[in-house]
Amino acid sequence: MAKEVVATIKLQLPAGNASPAPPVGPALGAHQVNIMEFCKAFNARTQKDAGLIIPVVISVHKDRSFAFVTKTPPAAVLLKKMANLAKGSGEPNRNKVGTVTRDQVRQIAELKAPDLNAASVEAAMRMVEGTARSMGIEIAEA
Amino acid sequence: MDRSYTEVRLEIESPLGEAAELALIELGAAGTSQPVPAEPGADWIAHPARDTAHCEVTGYFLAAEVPGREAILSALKRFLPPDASLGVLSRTTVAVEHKPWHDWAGESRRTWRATQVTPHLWIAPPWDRDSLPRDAAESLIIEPGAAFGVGTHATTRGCLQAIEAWAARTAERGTAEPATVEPRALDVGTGTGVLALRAAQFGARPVIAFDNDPLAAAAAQHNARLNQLAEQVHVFTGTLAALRPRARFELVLANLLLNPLLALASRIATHLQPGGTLIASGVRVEDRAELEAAFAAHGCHPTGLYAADDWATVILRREWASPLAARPGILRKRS
Repeated sequence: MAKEVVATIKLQLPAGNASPAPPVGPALGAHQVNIMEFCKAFNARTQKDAGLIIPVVISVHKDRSFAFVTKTPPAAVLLKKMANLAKGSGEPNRNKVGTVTRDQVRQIAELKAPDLNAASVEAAMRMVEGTARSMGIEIAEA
Repeated sequence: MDRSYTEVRLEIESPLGEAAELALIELGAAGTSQPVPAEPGADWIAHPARDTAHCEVTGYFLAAEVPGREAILSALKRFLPPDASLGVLSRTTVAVEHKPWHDWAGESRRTWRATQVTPHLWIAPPWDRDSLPRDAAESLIIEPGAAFGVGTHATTRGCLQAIEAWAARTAERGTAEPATVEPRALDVGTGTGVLALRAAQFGARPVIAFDNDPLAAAAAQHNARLNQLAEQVHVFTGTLAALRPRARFELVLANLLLNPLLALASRIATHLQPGGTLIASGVRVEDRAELEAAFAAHGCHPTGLYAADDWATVILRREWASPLAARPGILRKRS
C-alpha cells in the first residue's frame, strides 16, 4: 500500500555532494526527515554526474520516511556545460556568448527526453534550441 | 554558533519556477528548494502551473555576499523561456532573510527511538535506552551527533548482518583451533562507530576506526565510551594514509560510497590480511559489479551479499595467494 505523502519538496542540488548544510538541512529538517540518510542516498545515486546540478523531488511520508526521484539536469545547465560557459548572455539577441553543435543539442534532447513533455526527439531538440537562444548560445550546423 | 546563511525567496509565476532556480544557482546559491503543490498523481514537470498561479523558490547562500534584486532579475531574464513576457520580472517579489546555522542532521535524529536492526541486535539512542526490551540479548547505545550510521539505513543493517555472519564463522574456527589470536579489525569511514563497536562486541581487538570528519570521529569515540568499548576501539580523525603500510587486519569494514571505494580499493586490499574478510557497503545494487571488479584486481573476491532497498553490502575475501605477495617489500619480511 502506498504511504501517505504529507509534503513534496523539489530541490536543486550539486550531484554527489549533498550535505546537511542548506538547502538540504532547512528544507528537509522542517519535515523531520533523516537528513544523513537522504544525503547518502542522493549522493550514491548522483555521484556519476558530479559537477552538475540535479533536480530532485522528495516525497515525505506521514511516518517521516521518504522517497525521492532524481531528474535530468535542466537543459540550461547542460547547455552551459557543453558550451563551457559560467553563465548565459544578458542580451541574448545581440551578444552571443557561446556555441553548441546540433549533435550536442540532440544529446541533451535525448538525455532529457524522459522529463520533457515532447512527442519526439526532434520536438525535444526544438525545446532545447529555444533555451539555447534565450541564453545567447548559437547552434552550429557542423 | 554564530555561523549563518541567507535565504533569498522569489515568488514568481509558476511556469517560471525553474528559471528562478537556475538564476539563483548561477548567482552562487548552494542549492534551491521549492514546495511542490500536493496533487496525487500529478506530473509536476509537464504541468507545473496546474493548480497554483505562483510558486515560491528559495535560494540558499552560504557566503556573506548575497545578490540584490537587480542582479537577481537580470539573471532571471537570461533563463526566461523564449515566449515569456518581460513583465513577469516586475511582478516577481524578492525577500531576503538571514538565518542562524543549525545542527539539522542532529535535530532530524532526535525523533529516533530504540530499534531492532538485526535478529540479534537492538540499537538505542541514549535518550531512549529505557525502551530496550529486557530480553534483548545484545544492544548498542549510539549517540548519532552529526555522523552517519544509527542502524536504520539499509547499508548499516547489511554491514551489521555481515559482521554477525563473520563472527559466527570466526567462532567456529576458534573452536576448531583454540590458539587463534583475537582478530584485528579496521573501520574505514566509521561515522558513529556503530560497525566498529559491533566488531568489538564480537571480540575483535584492537578495532581501529577512523573518519576524515572530526565530528564523526568524536561521535565514534563518545559511543565507544558509552558502550564500555573504548579500550578495544581506537578512533582517530584522518585517512588510510595514517596507517602503517604493513598493518594487516582480519576484518575490514568500509560503508562508504562507490567512488571512494573504487579510489581506495588498492589500499584497502593492502591492509586486508590474506584470507581476511572485507565488508563493503554504500553501493547501489546496480553498481555492485563495478565494485567487485575493482577489488578482484587486488585479489579480493565476493563470498556473500546482503541487498535491501536497492543497496548492496558485499562480503569479499582476500585470496591467500595474493598478487601482492609476489611484490617484494609489501608482504615479505626483509632479512
